[in-house]
Amino acid sequence: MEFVIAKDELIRALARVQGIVEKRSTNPIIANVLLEVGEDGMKVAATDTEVSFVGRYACEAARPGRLTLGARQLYDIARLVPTDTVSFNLPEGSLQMEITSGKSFFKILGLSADEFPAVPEPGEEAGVLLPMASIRELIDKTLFSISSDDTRTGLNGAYVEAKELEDGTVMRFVATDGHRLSLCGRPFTGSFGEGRSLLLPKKGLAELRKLIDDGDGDWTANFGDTQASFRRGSICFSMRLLEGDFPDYEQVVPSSWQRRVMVQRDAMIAALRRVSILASEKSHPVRFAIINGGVTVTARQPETGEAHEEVEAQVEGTDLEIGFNARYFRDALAALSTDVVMLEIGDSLSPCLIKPGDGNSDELFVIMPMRLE
Amino acid sequence: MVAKVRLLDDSVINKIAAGEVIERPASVLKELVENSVDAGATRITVEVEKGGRALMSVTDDGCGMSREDALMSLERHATSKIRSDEDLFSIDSLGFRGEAVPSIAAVSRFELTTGEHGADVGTRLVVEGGEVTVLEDAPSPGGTEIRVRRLFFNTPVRTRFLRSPRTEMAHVVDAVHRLSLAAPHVAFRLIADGRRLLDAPRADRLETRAAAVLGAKTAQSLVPLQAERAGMRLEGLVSKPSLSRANNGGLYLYVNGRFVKDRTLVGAVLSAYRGVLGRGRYPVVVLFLDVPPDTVDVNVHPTKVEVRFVNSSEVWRFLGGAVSDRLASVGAAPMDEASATDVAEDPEPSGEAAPFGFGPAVSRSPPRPFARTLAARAMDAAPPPDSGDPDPLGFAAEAAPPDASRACTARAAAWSSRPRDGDGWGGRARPRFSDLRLLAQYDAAFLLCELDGELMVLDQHAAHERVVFERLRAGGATAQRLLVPELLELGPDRTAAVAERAGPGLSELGIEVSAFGDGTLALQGVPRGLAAARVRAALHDLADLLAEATPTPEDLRLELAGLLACRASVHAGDTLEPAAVRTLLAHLDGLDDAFACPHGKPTLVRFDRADVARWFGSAR
Repeated sequence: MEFVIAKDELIRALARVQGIVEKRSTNPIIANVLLEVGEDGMKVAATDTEVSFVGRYACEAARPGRLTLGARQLYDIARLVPTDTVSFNLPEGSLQMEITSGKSFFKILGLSADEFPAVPEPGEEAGVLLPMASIRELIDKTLFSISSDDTRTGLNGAYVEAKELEDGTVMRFVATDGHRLSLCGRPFTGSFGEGRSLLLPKKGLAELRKLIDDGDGDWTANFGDTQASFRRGSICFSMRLLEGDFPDYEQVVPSSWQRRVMVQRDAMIAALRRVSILASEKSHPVRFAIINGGVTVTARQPETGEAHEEVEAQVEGTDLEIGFNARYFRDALAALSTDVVMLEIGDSLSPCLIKPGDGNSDELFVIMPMRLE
Repeated sequence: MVAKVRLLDDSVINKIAAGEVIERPASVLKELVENSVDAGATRITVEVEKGGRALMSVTDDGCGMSREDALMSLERHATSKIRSDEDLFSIDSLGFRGEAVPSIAAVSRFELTTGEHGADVGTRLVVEGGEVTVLEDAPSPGGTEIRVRRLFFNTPVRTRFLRSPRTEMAHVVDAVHRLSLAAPHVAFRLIADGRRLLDAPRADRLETRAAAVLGAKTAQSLVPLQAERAGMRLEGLVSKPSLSRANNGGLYLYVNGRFVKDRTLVGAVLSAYRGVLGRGRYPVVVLFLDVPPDTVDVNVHPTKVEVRFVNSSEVWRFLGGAVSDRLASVGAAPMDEASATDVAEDPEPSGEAAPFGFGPAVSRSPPRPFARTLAARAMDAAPPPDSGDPDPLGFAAEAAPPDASRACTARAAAWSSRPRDGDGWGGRARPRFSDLRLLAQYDAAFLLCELDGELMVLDQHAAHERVVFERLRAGGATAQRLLVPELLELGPDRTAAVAERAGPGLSELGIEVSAFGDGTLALQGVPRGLAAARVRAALHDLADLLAEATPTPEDLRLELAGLLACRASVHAGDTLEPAAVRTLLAHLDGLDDAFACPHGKPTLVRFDRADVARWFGSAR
C-alpha cells in the first residue's frame, strides 16, 4: 500500500473515529483504525463492535492495500506533521507502515486488516431519507431521557417507530429512564416498515449526533435486523440495535388534565436555575405552587435555607402543589423550542405533560412528580 | 470418679456451626475465663503480657480436672457441659461448643495445670501447636491454671491480623470487664505487664462490682432495675439521664449470663432513652436478661456475642418498657444540656483504681464525635501507662459506630466482629477525606490514597455503602414516582407483608409500594438516585426478611436502609473515575461515622511509612 494524502483530509478522517475506537478492550485491534486504499481513494473504518464508522477520503493512491494502525497514535502524527501532504508506504508483506512528512519519518507496526471486525456498510440502495433538521431534533429531544442505568436494557436506547399523524407520517423517537419520557416525531420520506419498531442505543445516538454537526446535508438511514446505518455523502455510521423491551409509551402519556399552565419557557428555566441552587443534592427537588396567575417555585434545604421565585403564568383549573426534580424539568424545557410552553397536570402524584405552547409539532415530555412531604 | 468431659455425638457437632473461635488474645481469655466461671471458681486471676501475644494466663480456684478430663478437654468438641441434641437447645452454662480449648492449644504453646479439689497430685500438660509434649504429675493448684504463650506462633497469617499490644490489650480489658460484670460473686484480677488493671473483690451486689469496673463516679449515676414478665426476667443497672456517653461502649447486655451484642436489645434500650438523652448520646447500662433457654438461640456465631430470639418483638417490648418505666420513676425528663456532662468521656474507673498505677489523665483531646470509632488506635497513641488514659473500657468500646452496629449486628458479627484497624488517628485531629490524594484504584475495589506521608487504603464499596446508608437513614427521602410501576410477583403473603408491615417505613425512605392485585406488589416511587431495579432487588430481600422475622419499625427502617445501601453502592469491580472518587471522599467528610460500613467493616486502613518500610524489611 502506498499513497499520499492531504494533511487536513487525514486529520478529518481520524478525528471522527477517536470517540468510537475502544481503548480499553481486551481485543487490541479495535483500538485501531482500518485504512484501506484502492483506486477510488482511502476508506477509514473504526468500530467498538457496538457502533462503527466508515468514511471515504480522497488520496493519491499509488498501490492499493490495507492495514490497521493505532487510532490515537496516527491521529497525533497527523496533527503534528510539518507538511501539507503526508506519504504512506507499506512494503509488500510488511505490517510496518512508513509515514513520511518532509524531514519527519515514522515507522509504526500495525495489525493485519484481516483480523479487523467486519464493519457494516450498506450499499447505495434507498433507505429512509431524514432531513438534517429532523435527525438532529429527534436526537436532541430524546437523548437526555435515555436511561444510563444498565439494569433494564430496553431503556438504554431510543425507541423508534413510524407514526401516521393527520398531516403526514413522522418518524418517532421515544426515550424514558422510568421517571420521565421524551417523545419527538419528525417528517421523513421512504418506508420504515408497517408496524415496525426498534431500539437505537444511547452511545450510538450520541456519536451520530456529533457527526451531524460535522457536515451538511440530509441523511439516509437503513434499518436492518440487527444494525441501523446512517449515511451522508462519503461517511456511514452504523450501530447495533439494542435488544430489550420498551414500555407501552402511549399509555404513559396522560390524555386528560385538571390544571393547564401556559408559561414563558425562558423565564421558567431561569427561575428553576436560580431556585435549585438551594435544592438539596442530586435530585434537586423543587415545589411548584400553581395558583391563578402564576407558578411559585420553591426549593428548601433543611440545613441551609430556601429560595423561591414566582413565574407569571396563565393557569386554568384549581390551585395545586406538586414536586419535581428541577433538572428533569429544565432538561425538558430546554429541549422545547417554542417561547411559550404548556404544562398539563392532573393531581400531585400524576404525570405532568409538557408541550410546545402552539401545540403544533409532534413532541412532548412527561415528568413524574416527586412526593412532597 | 465419672469423667465430666465427654465427646459430643456427631449429630451435636453438626448442629454447631463451624467457625473460628479464636480471633485474638481477648477471645482466648474470654473462653478460658468462661470455663473458669463454669468450673465454679470464686477467684479468677488473668495475667497478660504484651497484649496477650507473649503470655496469657488464667488461674482459678474452680473444681479442677482429673487427668482423663484434662486430656479429653483437648479433643475438639469435648465438653463437659452438653451431652445431646436436646441439651443444645437448653443451654445454661456459658461455654458449650467444646471448641475453645483445643482451638487455643492448636495455635499456641499451651500449658495446663489442674487438680481436683481434695487431690494432692494434679496434672500438668503442655501442648505445642496441638501436640501434647508434656504430660506429668504436678502439685495440684487447687483449681486450674492455664498459660497460653506465643499465640498464633504457627499461623503467621493470623499473627498478621493482630494489632499492636495496646490495641489487643484494650480488647482484653474489654473482655474481662464484660465477664467480671456478669459474675460479681467471683473475684477478678487483671494484671497486664505487671500492672494491676482491675482488682474486683467478691461482691454480693452488682452495684459494688460496677463501681469496681466502671468507676465509682459512674456507678453513682446508676440505678437498679428489676422486672419480670412472661417467663422473662430483667435485672441490672441503668444510668440516670445525668450520665451519658458519646458511644455505645457503656452498654453491657447479657442474655442468660452471656454478653451479647444484639440489635434487638440495644434498640430496646436506646428507644427507652430516646428523648431522655440528647442526640448522639448513649446511656450506660448493665442488664441481665434471663429468658427460658428454649426461646433463644445462642448458637448463631462461634464467638457467641450474637443471639436470636424466638420472639424478638416481645423481648424488645419487655426490655424497652422496663427501662422506660425505671427512667420515668427516677424522674428522667428530657435532658438538660447543662447537666449532661460527659461523665464517661472523663471517667475515673474507681477510687481504688489509682493505686493500680492509673494516674489522672494528663493529656486528653477534647471529645470528638468520631472518637468512638478510633478506639483501638487511640490506645496505640495514648501516652505511657502511668499518665495514660484511665478509660481502657471506653477505648475498648465497640469499634463499629453505634448505629451501624445496631443496624447490622447480625452480619457484622458474621463478617468481622469489629473493624480491625485503620479507624484511629491517635491524638491527632481527624483528617479530611477530601484531603486524601488518590494514587490509584487497585483491583477495581480499593482506593489507594496518600495523606501526610501515610498510605490510606479505602474499600470503595464499604465507603460508598456508608454514604448511601446515612443518606437513606436520614429518612424523609423524596420519592420520585415512576412512569410505569415495577411489578414484583411476591405471592399474596409476602406482598401483604411488605405493603402493610413495611409500607410506612418504606415511604420514609422514599419508596412507594402498594399491593397490586393478586400477590403482586407495585413499586411506584423510588428514592433519588436509586435505580428502580436496585430498589426492586432490595424489596425481594425485604420480603424474605419479613417472612422470617417481625422487626420493630426502627429496626425495619435500618434494615431497609442497609439492604438498599448494599444494593445501590458501587461494588468491587466498578471502575471509578477520579471525579467520582473525589465526590465519594467529600461525602465521607460529611459523616460522623465514616470509618466503618453499616455492617461494621472498616472503610479505611492506613499504613504509615514505617509500616510500609517494614514490608521490605527495613527498619525505617
